[in-house]
Amino acid sequence: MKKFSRPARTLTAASLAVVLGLSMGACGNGGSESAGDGNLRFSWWGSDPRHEATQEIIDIYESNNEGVTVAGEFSDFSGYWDKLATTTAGRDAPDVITMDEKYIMEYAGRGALTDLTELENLDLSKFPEAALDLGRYEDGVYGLSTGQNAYSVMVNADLFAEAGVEIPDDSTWTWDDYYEISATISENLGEVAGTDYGALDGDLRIWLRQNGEKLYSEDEPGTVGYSPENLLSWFEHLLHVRDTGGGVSAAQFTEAAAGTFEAENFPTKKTAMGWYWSNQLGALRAATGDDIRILRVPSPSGNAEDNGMYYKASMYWSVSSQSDDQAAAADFVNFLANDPAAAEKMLVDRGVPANPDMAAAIEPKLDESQQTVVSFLEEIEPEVSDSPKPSPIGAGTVQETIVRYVGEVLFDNLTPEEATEQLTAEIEGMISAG
Amino acid sequence: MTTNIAPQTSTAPAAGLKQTPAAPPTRRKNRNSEELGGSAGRRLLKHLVLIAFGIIMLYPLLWMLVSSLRPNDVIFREAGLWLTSFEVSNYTEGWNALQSPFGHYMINSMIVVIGSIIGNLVSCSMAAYAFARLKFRRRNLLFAIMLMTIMLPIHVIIVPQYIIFSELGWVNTFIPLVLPKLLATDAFFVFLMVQFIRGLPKELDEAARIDGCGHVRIFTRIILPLMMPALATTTIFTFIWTWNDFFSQLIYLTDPEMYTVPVALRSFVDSTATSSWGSMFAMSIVSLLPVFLVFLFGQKYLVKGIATTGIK
Amino acid sequence: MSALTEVSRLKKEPRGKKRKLTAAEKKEERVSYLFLAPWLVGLVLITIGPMAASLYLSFTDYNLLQPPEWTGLENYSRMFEDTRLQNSLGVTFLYVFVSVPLQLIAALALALILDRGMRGLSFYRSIYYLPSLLGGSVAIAVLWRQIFGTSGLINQLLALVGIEGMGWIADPSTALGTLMVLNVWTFGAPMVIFLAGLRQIPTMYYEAAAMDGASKVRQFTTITAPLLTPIIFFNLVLQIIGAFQSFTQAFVVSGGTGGPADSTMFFTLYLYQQGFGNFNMGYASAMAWLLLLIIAAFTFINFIASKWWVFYDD
Repeated sequence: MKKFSRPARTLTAASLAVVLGLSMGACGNGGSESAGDGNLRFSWWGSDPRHEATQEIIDIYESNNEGVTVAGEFSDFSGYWDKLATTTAGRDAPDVITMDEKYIMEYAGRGALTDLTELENLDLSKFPEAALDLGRYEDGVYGLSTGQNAYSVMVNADLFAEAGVEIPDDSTWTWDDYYEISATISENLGEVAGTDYGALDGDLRIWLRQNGEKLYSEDEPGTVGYSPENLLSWFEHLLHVRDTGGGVSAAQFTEAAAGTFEAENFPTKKTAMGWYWSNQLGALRAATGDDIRILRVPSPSGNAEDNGMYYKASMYWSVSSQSDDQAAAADFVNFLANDPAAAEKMLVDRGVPANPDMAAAIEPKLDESQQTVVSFLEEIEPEVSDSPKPSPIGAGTVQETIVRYVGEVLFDNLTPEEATEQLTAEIEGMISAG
Repeated sequence: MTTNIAPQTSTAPAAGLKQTPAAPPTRRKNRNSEELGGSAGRRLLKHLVLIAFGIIMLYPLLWMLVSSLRPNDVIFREAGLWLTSFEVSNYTEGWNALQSPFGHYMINSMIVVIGSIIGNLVSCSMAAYAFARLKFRRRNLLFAIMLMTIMLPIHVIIVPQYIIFSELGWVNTFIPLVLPKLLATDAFFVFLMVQFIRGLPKELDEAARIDGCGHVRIFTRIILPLMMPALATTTIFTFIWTWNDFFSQLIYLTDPEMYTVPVALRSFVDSTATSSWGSMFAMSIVSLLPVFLVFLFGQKYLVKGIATTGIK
Repeated sequence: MSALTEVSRLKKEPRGKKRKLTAAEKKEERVSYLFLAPWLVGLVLITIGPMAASLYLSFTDYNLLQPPEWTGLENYSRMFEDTRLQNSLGVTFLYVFVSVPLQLIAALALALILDRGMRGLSFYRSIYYLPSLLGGSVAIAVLWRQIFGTSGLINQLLALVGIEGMGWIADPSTALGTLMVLNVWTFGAPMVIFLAGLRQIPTMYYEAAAMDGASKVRQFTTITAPLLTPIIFFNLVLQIIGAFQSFTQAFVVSGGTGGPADSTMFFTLYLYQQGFGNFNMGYASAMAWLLLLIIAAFTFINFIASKWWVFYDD
């Protein structure tokens, strides 16, 4: 025992020191092993078609740039964030990082990303100011929009036809029209409900914007940007959809909320309308095999300019502050954002490019669904007002929280009043910590 | 109940074991013919019940198999097990969907699995022997510490552990996945083997010690052969759990060329857009094959009990 | 369990006064550490460090991206006000108390049935193990919905006998139940361990008993049950530890949300959300150490109680 205990103790102490020092300090040098030699790591999430296309983009870039290697790293969405958080904590983050609206402020605000405006190799001049704003934090731009989306209503034209309901004119339709259509379809089709509840933060944002408010306050960080009565009216609106029979059951809603995209109610044809991002049109057509159309969201007044729709960055390109070859990273992002060769491989998989030249370059290559999405976004452009800033620090799980409260309200476990109060308190608890 | 059996058991085994090698086959037959002598109706009933339960047990696999033969969009719209079309393309597409053929990821997994099995078998059995049979001070303290190491969820361990392996330059190698197994960090198996060794009659090692055997010899010649069921259990579990372990393999392997089966399988799935579910199910079936074979083969060793393992 | 008696013995011995070891005892100590060497190295190099780090982090505000800041006991006191955490503890305890006994009983019963005495048992064993192979696969998420969903298999079967089903997964009152079913259904691991344990019981005991004319039931109570106690004990301890840390199944089935309405929000799932979703790794670490204390307490009680019912031959 004696023989072993002393070295054992010393070793324990030593390993403690190492671990504590590293994880606590976490500020020394870092990044990938190869310093400044043009070896980049580039990470993204998705499924196999995206992996394949992205690898082709990397191959093109490598063949254009002798001596530069780009190592792609990919995984599914939730694994992606676990891995990114772990590698960032270990000062070992990839050089070029795909970011999401939910987390970009988290990473930017905590110094994990580089201000793209300070990178010389990256030309941002083609990007409209509005697109750059989507990645702005304080005075810098920490993420470059890979492409835009808009939250919209998808309708299954085949189910509409079956129900004998006409597809409404989306430039004039109101919430009352929406309620009526949903209820009629449910009544006429029986098994199929009129609509799925839109219950993501996107839906809430649109509702609040229609009432002139925002989800998060921009003047007072750490607080919500809405007054309670507008959140209350949103819950009541959802209950109205349920009570008029236009929506799916609370059980079906909750089931879908935890599920996978393809298992949701609209893709499985259990509803004739659903709330989705514009870039999901193609996926919805594939999943249903039906004629899916994309519509503007309803407005209170019947005037499309009041419908509160906005552009969201589908994803962002970001450069890690831990990268030891930021020049090379910037050059690669420049290629992704400004080179038609990259855009033509990507098409609209990561949203419709915000760089107008790229959008024009890919136009001839798009299939019908993609074409529809591009023209839809163009069409709504005059009506779209300023886009919301990315979610603040700490807001990573706000979406799940909203869905949870909607479920509680639909199940009548909480009254809209209780839900309003508790949801607000919970959101503020999350974002004030940042 | 436990006390009155004790004296009986402590005298019997040593004598019995020495005469075993030739004996078991006949004994087996006896038991079987005994059963055969029993009512055939009862046996039939037993089989029927087992088959009925077996169908419940098989349902998920059958469903996965059926799903792997369905077009992507049908998987979620149709419940039941009826196939309306037969889509073998999921297999060919799934196999070639990622940068390397799927077999490449299976080979990677196999390397990690084999390393882990060897590691667990060697290091855990050694530690277990010490805990079960040897006397040393602080044994109980160390044993308690060992159990404590499996009481913290991996999610709070992974970050500091990543920092260690990253400082050592071992990220994106199989070392962070295999080395811990070589160093017996999986207390589950140590404890398992401790329990098995403690279940072995102590007279065996005492007799050997009187014959002048050292601990190393007792361990390798007596204990190890006798704990075959535990070693088989360890092998099977290590295989399956390593083969399915997603989280640490995801964190430590960054280059897609190094990806293992679970990481590759998740690469088919995107929660926000279309996933290649058909490919995912097809490749899940393919990757289940080796595990199932290992179990089918390995469980034979599970049932090779003390009676068939003679001592030389 | 001699471990505990020895613990108490160690405590009784005065610390300063060390008993002299005989030469043989010294040698045995040396051999012991030889056998323990790999484990000790692993403990020091791989295990203890991260554990200690997480303990330290539990006293800090650590968001993974910036260096941690010492906050003392704040994370721990925060737990008292965190109703979601308390709810998750309740969910976890309920899950442990219901699903562990059920799973162990199922595993033991099937191990006894599938042990020997019939043709085709190896085939059945393999079939019965299959669900455990699928364990935490993403496929389970989809499958569970197909079985317990509003239009799932269970409801279709119920409809045949004229009962109107419900959304088993979607309803907060039944969602946890479906996860317990999932856990019981994957009884393969403890079953295999029981099978291995059964095989370690020398057949001669049964032969002797049979010659004495002991019935099957009596053979079970006097031979199988007592000799299997170390294995039953092992399964009990490890299944409890495992159930407290249960994560993957709830994560997969609820899509990581712990829904509906937090009804499947296991403690570790909440811990994971805090750590990786909300970047509160300090708080998550504190939660982890609370969990460790709870599990350690249960394990300790188990070891104490084992003195009365676990039979060792040493």
